Amino acid sequence: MNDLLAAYGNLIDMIFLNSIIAYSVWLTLSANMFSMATGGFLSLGAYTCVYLTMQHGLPFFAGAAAAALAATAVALILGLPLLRLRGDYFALATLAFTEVVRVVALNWESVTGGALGIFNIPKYTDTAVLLIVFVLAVYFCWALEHSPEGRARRSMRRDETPAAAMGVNIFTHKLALFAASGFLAGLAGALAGHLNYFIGPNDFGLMRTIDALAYPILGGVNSLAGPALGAAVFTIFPEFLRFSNQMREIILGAVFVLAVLLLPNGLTSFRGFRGSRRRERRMGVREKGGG
Amino acid sequence: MYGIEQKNAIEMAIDEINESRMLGDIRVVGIHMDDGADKAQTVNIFQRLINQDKVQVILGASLATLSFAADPIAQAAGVPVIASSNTAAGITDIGNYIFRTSPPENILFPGVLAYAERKYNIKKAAQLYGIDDQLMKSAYLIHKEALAGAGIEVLLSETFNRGDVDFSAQLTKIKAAGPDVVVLGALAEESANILYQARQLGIGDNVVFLGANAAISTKLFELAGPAANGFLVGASWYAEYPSPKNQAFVAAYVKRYGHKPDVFGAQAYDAAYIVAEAVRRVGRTDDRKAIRDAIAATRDFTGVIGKLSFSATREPIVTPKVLEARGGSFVPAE
Repeated sequence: MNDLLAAYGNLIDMIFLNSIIAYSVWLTLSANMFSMATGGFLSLGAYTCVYLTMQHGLPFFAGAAAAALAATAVALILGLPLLRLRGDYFALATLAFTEVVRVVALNWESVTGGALGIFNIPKYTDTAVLLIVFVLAVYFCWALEHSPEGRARRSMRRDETPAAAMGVNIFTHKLALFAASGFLAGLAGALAGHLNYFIGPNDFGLMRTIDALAYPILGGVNSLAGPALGAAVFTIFPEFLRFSNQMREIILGAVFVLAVLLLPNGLTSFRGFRGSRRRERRMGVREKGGG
Repeated sequence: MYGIEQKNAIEMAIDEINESRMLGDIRVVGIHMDDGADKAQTVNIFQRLINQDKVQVILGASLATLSFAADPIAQAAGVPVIASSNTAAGITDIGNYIFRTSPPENILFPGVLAYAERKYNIKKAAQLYGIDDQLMKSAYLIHKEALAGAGIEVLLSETFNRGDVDFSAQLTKIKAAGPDVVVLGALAEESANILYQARQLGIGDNVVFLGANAAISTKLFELAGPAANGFLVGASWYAEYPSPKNQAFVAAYVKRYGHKPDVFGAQAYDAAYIVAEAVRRVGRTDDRKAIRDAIAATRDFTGVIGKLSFSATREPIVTPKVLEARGGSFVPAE
């Protein structure tokens, strides 16, 4: 058992880490914000935390908190102008942010080590820490979903104009959610920084952002279990398919295309998981209890 | 990308070792895993190999950035690792279980520079390198230090990003500065484009181009054509290296896989034999510490890349060879 745990320890860690990232993305997706800033927030969190712990000797806890707050602050500043954009424009503008962070990380050598990255990072992130943050993230999203904010968000998701007419302040809600998403991603970045001894600017680029978007979309945006399920499947699949070597990426892509075609509302919409699909179709999107 | 040739070469070496029964009743079993050049997957693989498959030795990882993340796990578990394509500085500093058969740029480049200095009159240099590539940035710093050590003035340093195909802006500046030598920190594809465009812009044959070890690839000639002629690089190995052992290796490899091995394949083949040799000396497979010590004690091992010993810091001590691009292949520089 211990051997098994040691053999798959990093896999378990990655599932929790990716799940936390998935909830960060979910917070934006569930309010119709197609944010591609995740990579930028992760990078910001990782470098901030590693810089503070390694260069200034701060404890990991303080570094991670600072990283999360830094990402939140940047999300607020970024959100003010960007949230006036909609749809594709918002996606592109947030993608530009991720790219800007990557280029800054490449060139700010005194802090980030440039292209060489930072190695010999002490490993502070363990499974227990990840589990705790994961549980807190799920609880946060659950509580949010069952608060008046959750109700406002569900109405926004359906159609923003009537929601605004009903008195929902769309902009404030989106800004708060974007900031919360930044907080979670920054925290996840801090955890990622101290997980694998090494970080480099290309760890948190476009690919990482797209992977992060795939987690909740694959799992299902309309369910609280969706992001975690999507992240778990997405993380385990490459390991599961390792026997196929070079074919793996192709199989992985095909499986996801099939999943999206057959289960457009994500894996959690699969009949086995919950109620009938007809009811779902009638309801448009699933309404959670308490609303 | 770099991994397949290494996998081929290692599998061939393992089959040969088992067939020749050089280890008596001990059979070598190779487990190959593809990391998709992804850091998290590489760490997963290392954990699984160490804790589940209980391997004695790991050969890899293929990229230095992956090794920086995964090697500490092997170091902590006391499993020897031999890399055969990591050329970035600092890999073996991770710990006393980490080795490599790929000579890093700082072992290879001084030889190339010394050769160029002997042959040409070099006073002023320009550097052009990939700023967002771990390996190339590392190569740039090594080149810079070597140039300074040789008393060559660096007129300017220009940069590019991964995936760039147009280098005319940088090359125009370099042409205007008028260096005697241009040192490239670039992978094969980029080096090829740079060489081609430099000749197009009218940078003449009197300007010598020196490159990094990672620029060695047949791809260079496909893209650059005759513009590659005269390009100098350092390497531990080249396919025509005339030792009997290497000739046999290249012939067997071509027979088995239908094409010539690359330098990383050759270095991987030697890594597999170094492990086999170490296990033979230890005589058993249940003691990783003893195997590590035996690997560390490797002196004057005759491999396909020539004689190889490990230094106290577990770096390979080999005879660097200066290669010149000439007529579509790299040949020893005369």
